Amino acid sequence: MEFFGKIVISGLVNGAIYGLVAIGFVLIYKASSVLNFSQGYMLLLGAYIFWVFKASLKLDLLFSLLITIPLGFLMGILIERLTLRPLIGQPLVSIITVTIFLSLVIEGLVSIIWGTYPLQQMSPFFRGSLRVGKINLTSGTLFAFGLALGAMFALIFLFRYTRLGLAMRGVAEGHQIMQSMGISVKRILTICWGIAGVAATLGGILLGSTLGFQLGLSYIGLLAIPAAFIGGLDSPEGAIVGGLLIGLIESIASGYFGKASGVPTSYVILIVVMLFRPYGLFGLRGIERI
Amino acid sequence: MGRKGVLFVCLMVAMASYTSVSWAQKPVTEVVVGNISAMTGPTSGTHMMCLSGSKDYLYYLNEKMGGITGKKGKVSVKYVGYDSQYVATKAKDGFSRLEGQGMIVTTHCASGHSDALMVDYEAAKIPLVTGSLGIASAWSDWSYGNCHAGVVNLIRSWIVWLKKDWEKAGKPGGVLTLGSIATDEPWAPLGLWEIDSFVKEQGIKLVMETIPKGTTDASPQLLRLKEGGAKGIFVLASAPGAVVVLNSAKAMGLNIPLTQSAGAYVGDVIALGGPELAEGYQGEYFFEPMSKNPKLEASPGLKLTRELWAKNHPGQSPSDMYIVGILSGMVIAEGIRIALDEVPPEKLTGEALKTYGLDRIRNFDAMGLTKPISYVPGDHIGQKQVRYWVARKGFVEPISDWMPTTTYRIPKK
Amino acid sequence: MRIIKTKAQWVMSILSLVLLFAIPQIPSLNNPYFLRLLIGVGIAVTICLGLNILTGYCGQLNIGQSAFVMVGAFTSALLNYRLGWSFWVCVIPAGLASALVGAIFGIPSVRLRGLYLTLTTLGAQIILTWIALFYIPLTTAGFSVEPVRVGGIVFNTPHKFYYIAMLFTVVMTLFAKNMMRGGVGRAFVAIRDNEKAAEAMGIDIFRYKLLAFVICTFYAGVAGSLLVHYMMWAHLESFTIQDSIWYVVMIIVGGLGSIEGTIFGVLFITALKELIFVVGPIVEGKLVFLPMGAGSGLLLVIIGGVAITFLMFEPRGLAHRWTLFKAYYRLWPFGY
Repeated sequence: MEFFGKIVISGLVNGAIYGLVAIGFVLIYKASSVLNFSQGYMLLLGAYIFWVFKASLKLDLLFSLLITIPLGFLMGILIERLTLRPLIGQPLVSIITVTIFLSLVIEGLVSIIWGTYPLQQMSPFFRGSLRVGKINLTSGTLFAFGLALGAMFALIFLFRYTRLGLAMRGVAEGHQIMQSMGISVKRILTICWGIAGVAATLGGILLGSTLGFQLGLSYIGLLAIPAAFIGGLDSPEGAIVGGLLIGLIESIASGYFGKASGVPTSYVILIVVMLFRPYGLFGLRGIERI
Repeated sequence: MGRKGVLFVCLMVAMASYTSVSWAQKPVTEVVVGNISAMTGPTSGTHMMCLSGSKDYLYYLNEKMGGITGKKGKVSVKYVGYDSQYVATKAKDGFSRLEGQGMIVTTHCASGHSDALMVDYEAAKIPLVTGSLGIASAWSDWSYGNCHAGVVNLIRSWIVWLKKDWEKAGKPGGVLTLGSIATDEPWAPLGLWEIDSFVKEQGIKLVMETIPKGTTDASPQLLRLKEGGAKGIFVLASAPGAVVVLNSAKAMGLNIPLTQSAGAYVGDVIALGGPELAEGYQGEYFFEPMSKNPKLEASPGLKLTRELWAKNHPGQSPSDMYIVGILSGMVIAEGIRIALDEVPPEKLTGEALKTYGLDRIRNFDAMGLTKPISYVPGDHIGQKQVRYWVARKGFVEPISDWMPTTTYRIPKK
Repeated sequence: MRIIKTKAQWVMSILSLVLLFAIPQIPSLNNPYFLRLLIGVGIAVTICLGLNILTGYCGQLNIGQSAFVMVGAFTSALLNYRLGWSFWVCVIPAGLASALVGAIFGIPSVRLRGLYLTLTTLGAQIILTWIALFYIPLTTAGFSVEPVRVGGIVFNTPHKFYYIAMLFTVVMTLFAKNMMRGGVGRAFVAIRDNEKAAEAMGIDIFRYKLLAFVICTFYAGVAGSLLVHYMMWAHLESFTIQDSIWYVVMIIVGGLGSIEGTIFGVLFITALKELIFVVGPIVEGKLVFLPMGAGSGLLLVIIGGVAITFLMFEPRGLAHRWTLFKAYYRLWPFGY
C-alpha cells in the first residue's frame, strides 16, 4: 500500500508540472493554431532567469518569484512580437518551423550567457515535511504541487469568468469574427503568449529546483506534449487533467513494470485513447467543411 | 599611380610581409591534437569541460617549455576542436577534416563517438586517447582509456568492495543484497552488461531498478530497493538523475548508502544539487578529484590543475570532468615525449606515436593524479585502481583505500 | 507531363549527373571531409524525400522519421551481423521492415487528423527508441557492420562510398519524382488540400494515407541501411529526436511538396551547420570572457536567426524561390 501511495504522489507531482507546461501549449494552440515547439526552451529560460535572482543575487524567495513571473510574461510577449508577428497569415507549417528554430536560438542564448555547464544549485525552498499515513511529503513537493495547481486554477478562472478570458476564447474561434466585434486580435494574441511564458517559467522554476538548473530541462517540453494532447489541444481544463493523468500513467508503468517504461506507455495509451476520442478527452470536435 | 595602383602595392606588401612573418615563425615542428566533442546540446557542458582540460594542459606545456621535448627534438602542440553536435555522422566528418589538417592524435570524452569512430581512426592509424564511457578502449588497439577501468567494471568493482567489507564484518544477514538504480540513458545498460552471471558468481543478490530520464521523483523505485533489503545502492545516472535520486532518498529518510558510478562525479552532483543534498553521498573516482577537500594534501598534479583552472577559467566553478581532460592531455604529452626519444619530430605520425610512445607508457602516474597507468599492446584500459570517496560539507574525502578493479571486458562485436 | 520536357533539359540533366559523379575526381573537391559532407547530404536527401512525400505532398506531419531510419538501419545491420548477408541483400528487407513499422504507426490515421496524427509519429520515435534500448542491448553498445562490396571492391572510404550514396540518391529521387507526378501523387495532394473534397471525389483516404506512410518509411529504411553500411557501425545514439526535427526543418526550408525543394533544403541546412568553422575560431580568439560553450551557443543563435529570417521572407521555402526564378527567366524580359 505504501508503494502504491508513493507511486500516486510521485505521479501527481510530475503530472502537475506537465499540466503547467501543457497549459502553455494549449493556450498558444487555442489562440493561434500553432504548436509551440519552443515551450520546453521557454521553460529553460524562465528557470535560468529565476536562478539569477534567487541563487546568483541571493534574493529572497518571494521577491525572486515576484520579479521572475513578470519577466516570464515579458519573454512570452517578446517572442510573439519578434518572431510570430511578422508571420501572420503565412502557412501554419512555416510558423511551427519558426518555433523549432526559436528553440535553437533560446538554447544558444542560454549557452552564451550562462555557459553549457549545469548551474550551481541554490538552497532548498523550505525544510520540513508533512506525514500522511506512512507517506512523507516534503514541503518542496507540496509547494510544487500547490503552485502548479494554483496556477492552473487561476488560468481556468481567467478563461471562464473574465472578459479577457472570453475574448481569448473568441479569438480561438476565429480571428475575423473577433475583429469585426472590435476586439484587438493582436493584443489578445500577445497576452496569450505572455501567459504561456508565465506558465513555462513557473514550470521551469519547479523543475529546476528538483532536477537542477541545466540544459536538460527543455526535455520536459517533449514529455508534456502527450499531456496537452490527451486533454484536447484546445481545452485548458483538459491540459490539467491530461497532465495529471499522464503523470500517473508514467509513474504506475515505471513503478510496476520497471525499465522506465513510463514514457512509451503513456504514448501508447494516448494513441489508444485518441482512437476513441480523436480530439482528446475534452477537446472540441472540429467541424469539417468543404 | 592612381588609387588602384596604390591598392595593388599595399596588397603586395601585405602579402609579402605575411608570408615572411609566417616563414620566420617555423623553428619548432607543430603537431596537431584533435578533439571531437559535442559543443552544442545538453551534453556539451561536460564535453567542453573535458576539452578545456586537455587543451589547457597542452598549451601550458607549450608556454612553459616551448612544447614537448625528447631526445630527437621538440614539438609544440596545436589543439583543434570540432563540434560533432553529438551526431555520429558529424563526428566522422570532423574526423576526416581534422585528419586533413594533419592530426596525429585524437581525444574526447564522448561515448557514442569513440565507438562509431573506431573504424575511422583504425583506418587512418591515428590513436585516440579517450575519457569516455565507451567500450572502444577495450575493443580497439588504437584507443587508450584514461579515466576509468571500463564501464562494465564500475558496478563490479563496487560489488567486490562491499562484499569484502561484509565478509570482514562476519557476513551479517547470511546473503548480501545490493541494489542498483539507473536512468534510461543509453550507457546505463552497458554498466549492467551480463551482470547476472557476475552476481551469481559472487553469490550475492542484486535488485535492479530503472527510472525515466525526466522524472522528478524516484521514491517508488527506492522503496522497492529498500524492501528488497539492499544494503547499498549503486547509482548509474548522470548528475541530474543522481540529484533526483538524492532528493527522493532524503524525502523518504532513506539511510541506505548511495554510491555514484563514474558516469558522473560526486563533485558534479554537489554542484548541481547542493552541499546539503549531497552530504554523505559516496562515489568512485579513478583519479584525484578536483572537488577534493582543499584542506587535505594535494598531489602535484592536483595543484597544477587548480592553477590551470584559476588561470584559464577565472571565476567559474571547477568540475571533476576538467581533470579527465587534464589526464588525457598528460597521457598524450607523455606519449609524445617517449616517442620523441626515438622518432624525430618530422616523422611523428599517429602510428609512430602509438608504437613508440603510447604503447611504451609504463607506470605513468600523471604527477600523482592517479595510480600508475601502463599501456601494452592488447591492453589499453588505463587505470586499474579505484578509490571510493564521500561528500562532506561540499567537498569529497576518501573513505577507502586504493583497490584494484575487476577486469571484465565485453567480448568484441 | 514528362519529367524532362525539352532537349535543353535532357542536356542539363545528363551534364549534372556526370558532374555529380565526377566530383571525387576533381582535385580541389577531393578531400574526404567534403566527400563525407556530400554523402551525408545524399543520405539525408533520401530520408527527406520520404518525409516530403508524407508531409509535403500528403500533408501529414511526421516528427519521428529518425526512428524509422533506425528500424531500417538496425534491420540491415543485424541481418549482416547475424546472418552475414551483404548490403545488397539487406537493403530491401531493411526498407520493407521500416515500411511495415511505418504502416503500423499509420493505422491511427483512420481516426486521427492533423496534429493529433503527428503525435503518433512522435510516439513512434519514443516507443521504438525504448524498444531498442531495453530489448536489443547490442545496439546500445554498438556493433560493427560490414562495408558495401561489389565483386572485389570494398567501399569503405568516403571516396569509394560516395558513388554508392549518389547512386541511391539519384535513383530514389527519380522514383519519387515519378511517383508524385502520377495518380498517386495527385491523390496525396488532393488529400492534403482538402480531405473532404478528396473523399467526395472517390479517393480512399485511409488507403492513400497508409500508402504515404509506407513510402515515407520505406525511404527511411533504405537510407538507414545505407547509413550503417557507410559508418560501418550500428549504434542507438545515432538516431535521436533532434534528427527527426532537423529532417522536418530541412523539408520546410526547402519547400514542402517539392522534390527539388528537398534537395535545396538539405543543402542549405547542411551548409548552415558548417558555419561553426567561421564562428568557432572567432569566439575562441576574441570572446574569451564568455563562459564555456558560448561558441556553440553563438552558432545556434546564428543558425536559428538566419533560418527564421529566411522563413520570414520566403515562408514557402527555397523551392518556391526557385520556381519564381525559373518563371522570371522564362518570361524575361517580360517578367512583370
